[in-house]
Amino acid sequence: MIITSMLSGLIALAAFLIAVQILTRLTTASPVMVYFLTALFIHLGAMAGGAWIYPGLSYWHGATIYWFGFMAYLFAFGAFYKSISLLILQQIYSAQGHRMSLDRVATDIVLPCFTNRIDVMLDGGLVRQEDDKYTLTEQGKKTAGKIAKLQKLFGIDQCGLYDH
Amino acid sequence: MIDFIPSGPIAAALAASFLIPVTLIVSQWTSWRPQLGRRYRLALAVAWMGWAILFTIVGSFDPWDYLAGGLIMLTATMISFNIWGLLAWGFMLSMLMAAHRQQKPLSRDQWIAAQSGGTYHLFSRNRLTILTNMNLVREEEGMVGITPGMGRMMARIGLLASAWYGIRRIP
Repeated sequence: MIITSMLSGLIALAAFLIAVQILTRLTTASPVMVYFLTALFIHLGAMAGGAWIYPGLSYWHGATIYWFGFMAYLFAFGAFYKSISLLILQQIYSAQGHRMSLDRVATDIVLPCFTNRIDVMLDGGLVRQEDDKYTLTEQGKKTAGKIAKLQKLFGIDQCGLYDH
Repeated sequence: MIDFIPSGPIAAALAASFLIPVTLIVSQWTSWRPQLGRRYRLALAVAWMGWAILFTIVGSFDPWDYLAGGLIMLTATMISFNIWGLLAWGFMLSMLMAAHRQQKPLSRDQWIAAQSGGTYHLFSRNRLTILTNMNLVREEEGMVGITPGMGRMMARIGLLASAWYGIRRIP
């Protein structure tokens, strides 16, 4: 039953990988939301199917493989999609001779990262713009307050820059 | 029916994974207060050692139980890294918190200064230092270039991953 459970976990993981390849190309919804909902739906389906075909199937062995695979997928997504360090690496790689001036890295890659995030916060209603000044909205203050409490709980008193 | 009862190493991994957030919270009160990256590595070490101690106590003769337990620990490691990374180094989050701390309207440059403690050049330098330390890029006379081995390989993996995820990479 343990091997069967692990195989069912692998099959469910394969189904997840195929399903998200299709769904992320069909919808404009947030990819992370698509990943979570698809993962949950397939997990419940695999559990129901497993219980029906193999009564007494071990839950944990299959589930650990499935959720580990899911987290690894999400982890890589976060790293490649949002990491500024990896964006810099890819942009330098795409430049002529795989080289770029330090000034261009800052101006052409890092500065647009700031302006893009400001736009995302404006679209999300966290910030409003008046003339050339930005102010947090009530929603932005509420969100920041919740994050501040979490950072206080974990003793994080600085954020943004990596410690080397 | 499905058998939901976990074996010893699996139950030990489920319990030990909670040592990650507990250690992260407790480590802020130690007299030797390490930096955020070191605090995270310390939390991982405590949790993985905790799992090793617990499964030695509860035991099992089935190697698949240890594999499943190890996968739970790896999953907990990835989840905690995502949350810790977001809270400690998250880019948009740190911008939001910088604006929150200032409590006044900010121009773009003032906002960047509040977030990074300087200009976007300083932030760029911080990210480049990561890549340099990992031997992915090399700096020479005001230029930065990809290293032939690791750097090129990682950049190619990044491009392949972007294609695989099917999502246009935003700046």
